[in-house]
Amino acid sequence: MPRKGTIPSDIETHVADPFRDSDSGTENATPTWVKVFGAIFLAAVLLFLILMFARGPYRPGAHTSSGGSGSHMAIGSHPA
Amino acid sequence: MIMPPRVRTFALTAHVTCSVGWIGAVLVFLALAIVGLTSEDAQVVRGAYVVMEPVAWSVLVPLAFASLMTGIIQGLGTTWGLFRHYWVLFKLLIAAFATLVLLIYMETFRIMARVAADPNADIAMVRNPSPRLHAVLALSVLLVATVLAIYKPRGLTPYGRRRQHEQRSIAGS
Repeated sequence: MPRKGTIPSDIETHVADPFRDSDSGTENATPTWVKVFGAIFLAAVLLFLILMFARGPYRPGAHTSSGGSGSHMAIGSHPA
Repeated sequence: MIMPPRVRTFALTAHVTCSVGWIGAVLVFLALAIVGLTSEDAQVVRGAYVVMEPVAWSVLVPLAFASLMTGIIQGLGTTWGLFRHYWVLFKLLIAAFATLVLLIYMETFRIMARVAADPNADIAMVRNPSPRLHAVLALSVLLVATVLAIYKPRGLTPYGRRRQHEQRSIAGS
């Protein structure tokens, strides 16, 4: 149990020694998890950009399974 | 500049609070989105979509920015740095990306609220699965960021390795 007034040991350990176990040779190579995360992150960003630019601005009812009833005015077409 | 321990603990508390609060707010939006899609009461459905925009502006956006800012302060104010460790870098990218998507999505919230507030709009037109999808995706990426923060997987960036080498050279001389 940490002494009164001290930082919890887990947090303190991690903050105080960020380069732990970094002497091993594996530190010089990019870890596998970084490659996997990087690929997923890039794919997500690309997907987002493609969806944003391909689909254009949001249209009400565009996400509904029926594609909207078509019987209503588009939002931008409301009279001023 | 490395923060003194007490300031560091305060900054960490602020960062954890904002980040956990952000996840909680996304969970509330997921609940609202499910209510909007499944409720039989038309007024409840309309209300769910109308309330999303002001709540997003007053809770989601501030928490997203607070989480991002306190995270940057944490990185700059501790020996972890912002660009030295891959897990910190990924957390930064996740928070920045999620905040950007949220800001872009605010326009969608605004349009959905206008449709829901229009008494002439059919309830099928008001219902929209988009908030549910976005809430699930946001929850997923925020949980990934949380896992990274807790497990702190090893791995130094090339910049981090350079800094480590410099520090060891200084310490050895």
